[in-house]
Amino acid sequence: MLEIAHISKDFGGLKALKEITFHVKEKQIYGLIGPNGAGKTTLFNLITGFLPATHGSIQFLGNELTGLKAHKIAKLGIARTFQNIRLFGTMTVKENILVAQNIRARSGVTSLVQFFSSKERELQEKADDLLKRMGLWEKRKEQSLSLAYGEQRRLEIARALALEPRLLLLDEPAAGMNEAETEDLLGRISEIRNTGKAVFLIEHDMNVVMGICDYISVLNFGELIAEGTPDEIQASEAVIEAYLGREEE
Amino acid sequence: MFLQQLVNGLTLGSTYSLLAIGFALVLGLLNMLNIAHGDVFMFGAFLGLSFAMLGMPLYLALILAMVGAGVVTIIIERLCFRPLRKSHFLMPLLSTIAFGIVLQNVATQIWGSEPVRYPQTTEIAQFQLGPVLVSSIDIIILATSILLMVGIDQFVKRTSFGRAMRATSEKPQTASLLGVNINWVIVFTFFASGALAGVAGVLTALVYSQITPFIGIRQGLIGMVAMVIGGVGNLRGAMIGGLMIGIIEIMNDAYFAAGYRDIILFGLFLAFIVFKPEGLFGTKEQ
Repeated sequence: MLEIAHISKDFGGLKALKEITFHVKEKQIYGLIGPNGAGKTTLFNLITGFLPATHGSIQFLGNELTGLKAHKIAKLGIARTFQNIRLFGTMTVKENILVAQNIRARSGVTSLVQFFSSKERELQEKADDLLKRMGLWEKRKEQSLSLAYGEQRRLEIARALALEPRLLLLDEPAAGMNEAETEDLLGRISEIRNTGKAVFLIEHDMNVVMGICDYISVLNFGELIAEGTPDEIQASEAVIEAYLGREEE
Repeated sequence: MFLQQLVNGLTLGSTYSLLAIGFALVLGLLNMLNIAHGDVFMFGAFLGLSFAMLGMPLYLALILAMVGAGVVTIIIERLCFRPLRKSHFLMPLLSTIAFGIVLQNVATQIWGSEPVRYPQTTEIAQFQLGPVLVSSIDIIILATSILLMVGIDQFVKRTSFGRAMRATSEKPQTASLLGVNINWVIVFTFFASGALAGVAGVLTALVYSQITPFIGIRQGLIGMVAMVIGGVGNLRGAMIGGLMIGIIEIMNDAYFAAGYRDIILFGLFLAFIVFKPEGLFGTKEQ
């Protein structure tokens, strides 16, 4: 569903990504690993229209994404979370969800009168459902930044899900989580896949990547050095040399 | 006597509030000032005047002036803000100074620089409420302003578009990744800001009954004072700040000396900037 072909990104003289090609299939949990600075988040930024690609093509369900504005890409069905949490701190937990639901609301001038229509009630109910499913219902009226760290991460995932995406990008979802929280997160990611969505995640935690991903790509210095199933990756010489070997102290 | 002045102060202040809200809307979204805002106010007043001269009823002239002033402000966004997003941070501010002066001179070319009288479109009735004498114009001004203030407050708080505005104001890039069309939010916000200035222009012209192309200069500054006193970028603060300034101004004229009016108001402005920069109700949270 997501086809990345010959994607490159230069920042001035620095080649952050070089000729990256791979694809993510429907209902797949796809992992992208690599040392810090390998270009993982840059790739997410290109997919979501946060940054323009230097060259190459990214297609999603047959639509070319390069050159599209971020909000258009969101509308096509791609949602993401961030490595460093980016909630709307001045809003409540529920309002954070509702912002992402705007996309299912009317756009343009008619959205101005939406408040008086049944659509608004529908959005509110959907937001409530999502909050219950993600275990945030009790906290819905609190300011988002007053939540515990693990809850903030969960809210960010819930907010991304409120877009009703076909593909969910998670940028280090387990970062800073303890073991119990990570366990809970893995369960939720599996559930998300079971609802028919594909999940594409960046992660440092090897237990997370090896335990949950169907397929993995390894980036090193902007180049794709390996791809395969978790078993294949664990056996790959290139990966062990570039990444795993150095990580296991 | 005091109650009478209080009502006069509130009436005047409510037009300052409308201006202050316009400043706060744009500032809350882009962290920038539209210096031409006062001149949009003036332009709205003249548009209303022209429509009234054509024999339109007041409410229609008011609505058309609102739309006209809103459109002028969209032009300001397209010309003075959007192309300059990557320029030095002062450029949009400087470009709006230029736009404001152009607008003053366009108005001079169209309507002349002599004070113009507003036509009497509505019968002015006076009502004696206890010790207070209220004219129908006071009632129109207060009712219109309060309606607009409550409307915009609830709109931003409760509607999906209002949430998109707040999200864009806080983290524009994140908002766009969540499907919010930021440019549309910005255009709408500028329109609303200008429309409020246009209403304020027509309403103020009704009180003073004559206008010149240069009334926007002081009014714009007063709107800014009101916003700073309420808290930079804070909508409710801007509303209260405007009312306070109106009351202070009227009380000063009634009990002290009109000549000291701007010394007091702008002295207060300076005092707030130096000693209480967050204003009475806090600035827009970052």
